[in-house]
Amino acid sequence: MEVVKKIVLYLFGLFILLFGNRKGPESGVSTQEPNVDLNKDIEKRFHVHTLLYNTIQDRLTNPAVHFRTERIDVGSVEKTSSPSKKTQTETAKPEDASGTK
Amino acid sequence: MHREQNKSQQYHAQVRFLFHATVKIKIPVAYSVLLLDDLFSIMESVDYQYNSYRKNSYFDLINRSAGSFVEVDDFTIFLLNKIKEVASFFDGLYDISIMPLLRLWGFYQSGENRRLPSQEELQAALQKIDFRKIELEGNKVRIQKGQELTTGSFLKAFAVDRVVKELKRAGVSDALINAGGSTIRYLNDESHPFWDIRVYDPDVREQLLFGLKLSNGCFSTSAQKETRIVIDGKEYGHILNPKTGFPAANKQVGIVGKNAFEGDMLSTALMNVPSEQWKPLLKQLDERWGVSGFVIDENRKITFSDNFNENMTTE
Repeated sequence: MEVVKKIVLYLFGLFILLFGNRKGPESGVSTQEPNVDLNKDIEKRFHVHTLLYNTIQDRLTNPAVHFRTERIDVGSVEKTSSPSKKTQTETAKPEDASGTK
Repeated sequence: MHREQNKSQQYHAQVRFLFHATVKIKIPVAYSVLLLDDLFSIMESVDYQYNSYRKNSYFDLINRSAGSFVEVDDFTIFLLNKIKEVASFFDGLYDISIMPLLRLWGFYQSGENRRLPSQEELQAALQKIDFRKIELEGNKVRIQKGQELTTGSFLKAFAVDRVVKELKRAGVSDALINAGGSTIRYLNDESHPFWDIRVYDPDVREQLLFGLKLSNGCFSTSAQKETRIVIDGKEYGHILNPKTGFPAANKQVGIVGKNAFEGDMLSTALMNVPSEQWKPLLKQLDERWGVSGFVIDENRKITFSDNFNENMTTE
């Protein structure tokens, strides 16, 4: 009896797997027409900056107020801090002053 | 009378090598060690963007474009305005355009074939040193052809001040940053009212001169002993006098101030001030920048500002 129960449940699971979600892919297709006017005024909704070419400095400049990322020289990256990041636990012991600038 | 404090207070302490110095940051264990990463990142960022010895930093661009204007960021302008203010106060005894002189003496270079510069060489280098010729126009900077700026006397301190700003933003009210021993910046609250700082003899490194109990500020030290070159068996300190071209005569200066950037500039400048001018000058510095300090001259005579002794201990 137990074996029959297992077989029935297995077949039921197989049936659900194969036929349980037949309408899934079809139901995801939208029949709505694309809204062609949606991006009609896109230029009004964004700031448009005009870049100027500086022939003396051979570079593009942006005269408009803008944010810019902090400049990092990735060409010759040289990690200055030591790789060891061992953290010690200390008390408020005295600190030594010296004159190394 | 100093208040008692909890000496068992524990801190996360991390040491890294930055700005040619060992930098230690201590924060209470109640805060995450990840905060230390953020703090060191701030120092690295300052190093990358402003260190004159680092290629493509703003100060490197200014140096490489000598004779032409270079566009820089607001921080560079802020730094240069403050530097020019201090340089002007000391009438050029502090001057960041001193790099040609440092190169002439052979500092920051390999030690081969070092010799004393000739008088003609010194005069040629001295003619290039003049902070007044650093021109600022809006966000643009120009130095004269032949001039070269060095950030060695102030940038580490500026980075330390940036770290303190972040510590305060993160709500940390008890912390310490020891940048190479020459810049020690500290925050204190009621649970830990002061930090103990030890000041050593400029000639005998292990000889303690005195201790200091300091709260919410910065202790800046300049000394000739720590960084020096040897020519013909004689030692020459790295702090040079922009007027004479020779190493500063004074042995050591200590300044207690509100922030590291100003303190480091003032301590460097005082290395070149003759001993007879110290007392009135230290008073003026207190009035203008709210600092106290001491100077040790070439004969080991120590002169303290009137308001300095209150911090001293002999423990």
